[in-house]
Amino acid sequence: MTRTTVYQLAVLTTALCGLIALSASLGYMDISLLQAAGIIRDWCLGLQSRGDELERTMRVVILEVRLPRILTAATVGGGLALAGAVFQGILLNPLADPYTLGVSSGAAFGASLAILFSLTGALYSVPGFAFAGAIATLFVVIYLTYSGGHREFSSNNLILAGIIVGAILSAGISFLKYLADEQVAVIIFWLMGSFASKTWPEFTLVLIATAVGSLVCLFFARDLNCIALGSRAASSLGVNTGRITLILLVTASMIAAVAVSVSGIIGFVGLLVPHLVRFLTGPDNRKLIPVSLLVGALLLLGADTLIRAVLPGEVPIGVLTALIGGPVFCYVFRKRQKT
Amino acid sequence: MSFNVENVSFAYADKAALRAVNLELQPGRFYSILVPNGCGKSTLLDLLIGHLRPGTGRILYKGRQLKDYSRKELAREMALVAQNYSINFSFRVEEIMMMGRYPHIPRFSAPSEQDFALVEQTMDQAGIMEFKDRLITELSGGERQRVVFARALAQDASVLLLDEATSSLDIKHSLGMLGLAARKVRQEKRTVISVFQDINLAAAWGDHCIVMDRGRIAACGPTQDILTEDLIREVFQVENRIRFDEYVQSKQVAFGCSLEL
Repeated sequence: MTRTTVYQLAVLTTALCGLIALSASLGYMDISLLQAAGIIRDWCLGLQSRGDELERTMRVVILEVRLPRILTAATVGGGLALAGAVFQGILLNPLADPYTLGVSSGAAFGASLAILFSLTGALYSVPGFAFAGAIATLFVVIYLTYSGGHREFSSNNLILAGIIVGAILSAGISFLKYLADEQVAVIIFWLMGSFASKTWPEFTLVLIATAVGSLVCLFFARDLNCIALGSRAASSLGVNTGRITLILLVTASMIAAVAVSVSGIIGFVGLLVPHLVRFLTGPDNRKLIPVSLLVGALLLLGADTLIRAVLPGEVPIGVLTALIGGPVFCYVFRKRQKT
Repeated sequence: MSFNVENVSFAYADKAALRAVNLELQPGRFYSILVPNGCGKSTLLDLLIGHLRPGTGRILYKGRQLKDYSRKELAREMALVAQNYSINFSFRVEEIMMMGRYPHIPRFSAPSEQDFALVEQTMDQAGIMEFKDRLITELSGGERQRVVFARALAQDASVLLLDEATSSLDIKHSLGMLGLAARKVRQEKRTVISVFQDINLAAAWGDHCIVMDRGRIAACGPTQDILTEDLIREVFQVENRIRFDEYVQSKQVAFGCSLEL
């Protein structure tokens, strides 16, 4: 890792910590940035609350209400950006994102089913169904594409299978919405994504998935670089192309599946962030993957803070990321055409 | 002995690509392979480099079965210039070159001084020093192919496999690249196994020649001995005249009209 990359990672980590503290101080209850930072610091060090009743209330607000949401948003953002970078690398396609293999449609279908049959009573049933849907879709797509003999995945076939399965599921979702009557609002709200009222267990779940997934992706980052040379060239450099493609596809999709099942469908982060980061780091995945992780966390936390504390009334996060991300993507795209 | 290919057959689904192929390849030789389209060229290279496994028969490299080598070991022994040299991401040329060193560098280590020196030296020999900091996506097809060729040289392997590695190079750069490969053969006893479409280039550079036809070896041996008008007519179905060319210092072929058209 070069000195520039270490420097970039250090700056981004500092910025992320700063944004977490800032975000924790913003909201309905007035808490200053210093107070918020102090409370988080005490909590990290395991110190008990010492102040008066007001400070105890602040502590509860920050630790039980704001922090789980903040950390979930950051982790989901990081996970989606990283998964996007990995997908673009494997499929050799800059248009790929974590949802390319239909993970989001699968999750949406699962969640819609759970909502339609009012399975919301049981703990975790909507996230559980969403996750099951996402994973089932992933394996159907891989099954459709897997050719057996040479153990290789053609990126065109993967993308095509993802689109086909996604289209079938979308029709299914439309049908479920049609059946849902008054619950259709719940389904639509879930589909647009939200970090409202996230809890510590949900954060832990996303954190574990993202952390384990990131380690796997970083481990194979160098091989992913070789895969950009084409599968025969990569193979001649000692890379087991077929196996690594499969491992990375499943890992990145798992991260996306857990993220989607906790927060609903949040688009554009996984597509946009790796593109922006490539301007900064170049396409070397050993730099791209960790920097994307941090930038994704920063951006999604920023967007969610905007929704939670700045904008009047809650805009669905999926809508906001698309509304901001879309034009930014157009700008980046246009700029690249000119150079 | 570099390779012993013993009675190897290979089929895709039910379409046979190689039938009972036997070959012995020695180090310190430049092998030219001549194959009509669709007659098993890529399959043979993929088998030699361990990318595919033989259906029947076995392939030994330095007396040991190919399948007993790990992928990393093989990558340190053999380098391939594949036919596909389009690269979608904007890596710098130096980064691409360094990928040739990956098999020699542990996964999480930075390249050593020697790795940088070798990459630099190879770029210099291959005449691509001026591209060092350019993006691979900005280069022309021919320039990119030279980079991919040089990357395989930087891999510093005993065997260099070339799959039509000069297909989009102009004549000057074709000769330059083949000259680099030939020098490795003569000075360092490496093996070059190169597939050509251009029979005259194959004859000029390959001290040995392997001619394949429909998955079988039609002829194999020193180029001077095996390259005959009958062989070329039979395998490629074109009329031709072969004579020894004093200027090129090898047999050269002139072509007449096709028999079949």
